[in-house]
Amino acid sequence: MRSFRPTFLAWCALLTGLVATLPAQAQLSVEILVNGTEDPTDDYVTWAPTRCQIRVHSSTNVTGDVNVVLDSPTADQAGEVLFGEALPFPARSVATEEMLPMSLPASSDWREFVIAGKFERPSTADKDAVIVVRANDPGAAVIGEHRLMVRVRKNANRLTPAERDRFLTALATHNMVEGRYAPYQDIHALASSQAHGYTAFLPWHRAFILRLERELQAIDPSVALPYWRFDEPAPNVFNLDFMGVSSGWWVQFSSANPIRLWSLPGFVGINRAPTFLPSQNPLVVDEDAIVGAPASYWYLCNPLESNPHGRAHVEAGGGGSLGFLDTAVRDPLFFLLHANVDRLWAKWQWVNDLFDNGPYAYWPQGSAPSSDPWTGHYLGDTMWPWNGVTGPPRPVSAPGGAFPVSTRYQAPPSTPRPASVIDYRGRVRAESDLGYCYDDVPHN
Amino acid sequence: MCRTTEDDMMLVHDLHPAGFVAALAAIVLIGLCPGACAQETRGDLKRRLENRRSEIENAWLKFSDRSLPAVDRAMAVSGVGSFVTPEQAEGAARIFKDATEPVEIRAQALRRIPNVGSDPALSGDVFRVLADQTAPKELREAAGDVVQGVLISAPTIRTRMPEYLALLRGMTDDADQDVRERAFAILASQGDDFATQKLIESLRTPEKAVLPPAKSARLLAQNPHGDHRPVFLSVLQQPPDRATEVEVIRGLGGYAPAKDALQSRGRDVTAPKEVRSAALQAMLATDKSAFIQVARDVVEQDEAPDEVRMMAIEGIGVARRAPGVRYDAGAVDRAVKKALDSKAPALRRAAWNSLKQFDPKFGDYANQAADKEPNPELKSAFKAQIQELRSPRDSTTRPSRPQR
Repeated sequence: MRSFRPTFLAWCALLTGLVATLPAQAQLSVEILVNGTEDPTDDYVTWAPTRCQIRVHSSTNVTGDVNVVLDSPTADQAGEVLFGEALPFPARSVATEEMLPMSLPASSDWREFVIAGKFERPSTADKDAVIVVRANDPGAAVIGEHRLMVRVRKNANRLTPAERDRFLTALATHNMVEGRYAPYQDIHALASSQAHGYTAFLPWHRAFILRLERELQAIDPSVALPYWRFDEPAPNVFNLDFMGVSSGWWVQFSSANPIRLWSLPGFVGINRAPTFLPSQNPLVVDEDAIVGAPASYWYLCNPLESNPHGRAHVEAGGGGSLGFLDTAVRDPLFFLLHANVDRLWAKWQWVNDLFDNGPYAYWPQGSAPSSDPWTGHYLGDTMWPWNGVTGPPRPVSAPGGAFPVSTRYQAPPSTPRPASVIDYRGRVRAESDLGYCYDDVPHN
Repeated sequence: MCRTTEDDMMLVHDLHPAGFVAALAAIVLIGLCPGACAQETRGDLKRRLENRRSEIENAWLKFSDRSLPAVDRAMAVSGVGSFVTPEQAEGAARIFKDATEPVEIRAQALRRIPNVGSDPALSGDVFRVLADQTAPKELREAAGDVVQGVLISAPTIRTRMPEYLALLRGMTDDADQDVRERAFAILASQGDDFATQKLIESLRTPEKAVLPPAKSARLLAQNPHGDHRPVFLSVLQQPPDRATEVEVIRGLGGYAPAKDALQSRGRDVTAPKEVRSAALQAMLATDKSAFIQVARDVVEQDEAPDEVRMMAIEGIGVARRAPGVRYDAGAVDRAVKKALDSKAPALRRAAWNSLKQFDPKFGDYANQAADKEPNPELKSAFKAQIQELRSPRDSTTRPSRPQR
């Protein structure tokens, strides 16, 4: 093959071009939008792909396309993102690249790309992840940065002290300062057969805990619900600085624990009489036995509700609040327990790739016939209390109002159905994404 | 996403021999480096799950083998939370019901039956064992745990609740106090009137008590449906013992008619610290504005236990952030400021944190307070915080870039 020999004229043209673009390159900068908005309060991503946009800053004077490379540098305990090209956004598109070269038009038109949290590299602090943009190649000068957080639900036993304290502070503020926790107890106490004993158990609780998580994120956006993995010892959960230590009945906390003064109307403190020591775990069905259930929803939901779910309630609560349906929510451990129940469902979904609304992913299909006692459990039924429907077979009242619609996520709607929460990461339809994921459940 | 070793091997086959050796070495190194490619694929996980089911099947086979000693049978299922297949579940139910099996084995079998709640006949058997005063204690305990689990995970069982509640009511005078407590706890959680009346009776007339009064108060407070609080308020006039006093105070949180009684208990320098702490916490749940008044007085009580004064300061921090709370901020800050001179380091720290958060004049005296702090560790923490306050992070500065 003949080697390329530039002519004298070509060299001249190249040098002229370089000189002409040098001043412009010195001022070159780019803008990035995460989730299509300039609002920094929505710059939180999960393992699921998130749409982003980038453009040459409008004040930059450049001619011709600008070649850039996007990167997400690694730092200890900081979140990291991966990149992907913005194809027409099929729900199953992924971001898998460590770096993404792009060509940006000088016209400052937006170009799209996608990012996703790098699995096993979640953030530990707010906005500790960064997208770095360099001109031309990875070694060149930085021309733009955008900070964001890879926010995922994590094993409560492995949170950093700072993560734990942010969660507890948000929880204490939510209940003790804003007084917004008490309705959760009323809802769960009334829910009974709307949320238990049949197949809506999992989707109903998915929506229930998501609502609390979103309210906590309104207080501190860096917070995600942690889960209590109840088939393993969790000494960092059952200690004075986190969920407290039971002294036989009343739970004790350290003086620095934000939930030390926890109370609800008519009930001061948290009572718990666990059957296991903080260094042990309750005798529940282990995760592998649950996640290994056959790939049909019925074989998962019913056993999961009984054991480990019911058993974990009873063994952790004993005769205390968590041990009984009508009082369980008094103990905030409820939400860590149910985050784990939801995680088991999520992991089973991942193992069997069941994110559609078909009969293997959920059962019963369709809508309940009128006055069916299991109204609320069919795929297409609206779920109480968010639908506001009262009277048999629904409960006598519907506290708490409609499900608050998120400004960031379209799902679930204000009157969620089981069908609204199955595809929780937007794998089948991007708009189904509920905006959360688990640290040990991959996206693909 | 990490690629699997199989994926890597496929790529390696297409390489030049020298590249092949280098790539193979890289794969070996990746394999040796823990966590380098730790993500489990679906295939890996499915194989692990299948292995786990085999382990459980093996444990079941040993457990159900009557020719083995009971201790070996029990040991075989020590790592198994529940049986999983229908055959295992049915077998375990047979063992539970078999009176010729050792009690320990029957109890272990019962605890490992999945879905008791979805089998009405089996649920009934378990309830009857719980109610049977002649049944062995170990078996009744297991039955109690299972019944409670069924009630929380299968409330559909409520269609048969009248029958079960009648059994439980019969257990409220069981000879075994643990069983009585369990029955009362379940009944109270169901808002059962019979149990509520018996517990109130226990609380009012200790000589007729079916449970110690403090335990009766605890269980009454568990009932989310009934209003036991007027009874609690009358018991508070003359509590039978300190434990009961603390329990009824906790149960009065949020009950407006109890406000005066709670305020006076919270302020009472002669009351024990557990009573005062409970009263303050109950006040915080009842009326945040009134709480701040009481807590301010408590903070100024030099003779009050440090723990109580600290709780007062922390409670003030909570109450001040709540909407609609009225209080004299200057007076509160002055009271908290006095605690900077207390002897307890933890109290001084609580006061410092509170003032830093709320007192607009904090900057005027923070240095002086830090200078006179006798505890070196606290002193240096205070100084560092002052430094932080004086040079707040410039939010427009780009954070330093982490290196790959």
